[in-house]
Amino acid sequence: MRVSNRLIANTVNSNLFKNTDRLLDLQTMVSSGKRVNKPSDDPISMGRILDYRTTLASVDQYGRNISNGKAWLNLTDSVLGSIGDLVIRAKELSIYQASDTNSPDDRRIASEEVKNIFDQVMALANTKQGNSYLFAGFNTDTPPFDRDDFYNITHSVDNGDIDIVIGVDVRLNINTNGDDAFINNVNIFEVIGDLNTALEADDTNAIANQIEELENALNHILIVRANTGARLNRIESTENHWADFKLNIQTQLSNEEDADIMKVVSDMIAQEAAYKASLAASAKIIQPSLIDFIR
Amino acid sequence: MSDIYGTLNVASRALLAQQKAISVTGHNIANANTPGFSRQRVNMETNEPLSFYPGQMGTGVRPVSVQRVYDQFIGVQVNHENQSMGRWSAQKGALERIEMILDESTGYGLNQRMSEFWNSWEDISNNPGSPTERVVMLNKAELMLGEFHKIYQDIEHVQKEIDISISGTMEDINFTAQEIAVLNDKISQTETGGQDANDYRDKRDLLLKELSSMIDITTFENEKGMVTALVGRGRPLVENIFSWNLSAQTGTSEHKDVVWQDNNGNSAIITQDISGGKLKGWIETRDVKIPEYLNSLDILADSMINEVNNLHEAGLDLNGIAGESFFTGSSASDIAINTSIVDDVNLVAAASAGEGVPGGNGNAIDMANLKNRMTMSDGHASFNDYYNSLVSDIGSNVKQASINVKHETEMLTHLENYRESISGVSLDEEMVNLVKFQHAYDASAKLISTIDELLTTLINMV
Repeated sequence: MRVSNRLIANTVNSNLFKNTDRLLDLQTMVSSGKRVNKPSDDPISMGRILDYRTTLASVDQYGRNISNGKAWLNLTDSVLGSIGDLVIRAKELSIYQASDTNSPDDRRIASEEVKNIFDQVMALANTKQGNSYLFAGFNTDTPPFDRDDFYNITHSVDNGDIDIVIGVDVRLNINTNGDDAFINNVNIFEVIGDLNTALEADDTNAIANQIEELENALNHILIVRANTGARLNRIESTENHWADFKLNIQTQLSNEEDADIMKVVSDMIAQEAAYKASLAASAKIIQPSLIDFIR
Repeated sequence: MSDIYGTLNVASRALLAQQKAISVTGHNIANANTPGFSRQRVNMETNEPLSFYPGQMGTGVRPVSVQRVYDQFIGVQVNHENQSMGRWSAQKGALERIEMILDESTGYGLNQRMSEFWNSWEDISNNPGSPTERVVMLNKAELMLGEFHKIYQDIEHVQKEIDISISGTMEDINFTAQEIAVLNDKISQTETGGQDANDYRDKRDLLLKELSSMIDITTFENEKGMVTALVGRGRPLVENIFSWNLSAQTGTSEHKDVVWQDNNGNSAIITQDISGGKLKGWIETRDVKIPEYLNSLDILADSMINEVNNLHEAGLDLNGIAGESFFTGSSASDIAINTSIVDDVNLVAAASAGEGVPGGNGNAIDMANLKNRMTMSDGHASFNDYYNSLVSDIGSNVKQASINVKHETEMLTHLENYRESISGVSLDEEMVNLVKFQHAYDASAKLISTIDELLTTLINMV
């Protein structure tokens, strides 16, 4: 082939451009640490990267939902625990005051303590998580339990089940219905109220009758608490699942998106060597001319 | 006449011929880097011989013509590839801008904004009675809509810039066509006189090459050496010594059409007839690709508006009343949040019908769940899936254009190299020729001085 000077110049230029172009690509990968820097770098990968990012955003949101649910369930659990303790104390009082060794004065003093227990249980049943009443159903902005001067309870719980989202199409019920817990099966307020009435009336038989009622109330609280505990277990295992899943997705995202730095750097070094070689070769081919020799 | 004066004539002709050759060599060297230049050579032949005793006597050399060295077919091929090159590089340029507009690789694009919007509904579901989460959700919605509007407007802006580029190219095309017509005239005049119009032809070839990078042309040459260039299905742009004008006019659509005009003021829209060059790349991007992308965004926004509104209207707000429409509008450019909801966050319908307020959160959960629902592409894609495939689609269009540009670059380099190897100036070769012709010139001069000596001898005899 006949070789003209422009041909040499064009070839040198186009080879240098090709080399610098590849070098620039590799340098971009090294400096950004990413293999896919724009959708056209790898359109299919870009699609997957966006999918993974969407998933990660969802998983992070599940995490927030779960920690909210956990706070709710933990608080429910501890409230039920405290109520249980109060019921135990009421039961102790009833056992103690049912015996004839105590005087009517003792029973009057005990009745003051039982009134306190009543109010404490009611305050606990009106506990708020954030600005929502725990046991109120959907009626979260109104205290669900109130009493009159004669310790008759009034309640305004609706039957709302509050769910949170802990996965794709997976919901978990986090609230405990106040009526189910404290009224419907065993009316814990009535039981304590009756004990108070019996103590005030100094009626040892009636006091003795409340022992079994209090026992029943305690058992029911334990059942409700066990139910809460089961949900806590479930939410915690879901939380662990999402932690593992997130790690997994992050690894896949990294595989898809991140440059294999070892490989890219070694490619870049190889490319640099190629670039230098083509510079050296170009310098050799464009330098000499017949002029240098025929003078 | 092979007498002594005849020999003097041979010498003087030889001097002139070698000098001409040296001059053409100089022209070649001078134009070694001129784009489009083809090296030239002086065609020499022996002068008419004389029959004489004892045989035919030569009468020296004569230069016949100055000819350029070129391959007439390669020009056509270069023009053809240049049309594709122009098309794909124009398309690549425009599509790369759109790719940048989406800006998804950084993770702050619409994909992220949509995820944040859906997730903010789950935050509401965690605390349906509180205004904070509602305000945050509305902020996330504003961000998402802002992204929708920005992408839409920026892509439309690319369309408008393409219009400006098209208008600018019209001037280049018209100017080039005029120059070609002028060169047609010069070439025909030169060649009618029996000479080759080498430099004019080189110049015209270069102009045709430039023209084909802008628009696809069909060319042929008549017997007078004048070239005809046709555009847009057989409409003349250059014919003989005349050229026609193209102009960009705003037509029925809001965009610029390419209009061909003849001398009688008749005009024809040739936008759809253009099949190559930068114009094709731009027109295709503007009229096919971009409307496709914008349409996808509109479909996405419209579905989102419908799905969200249906759900929102089925839910209950914080007052226990059925929700209003959440979004207004019907496309990516006019989607907005219902202003009465912006003014009163209590109107956000977080509870499902039948649930109590403020604790009911079923609707917020359903709303967040829309992100997983297969609402797009006939039930085969979620909102995010749909958008992600749009991003992939644009990415692969850019990639395709880049691959084509690379391919055409290779092809053109190859053809240019081929053309160079035939027509290009090799300085070494010219140097050798220079030495060759210089020696011949020196020898011819020596011949004259020898004849001078012979004549002196003769005269001294007298």
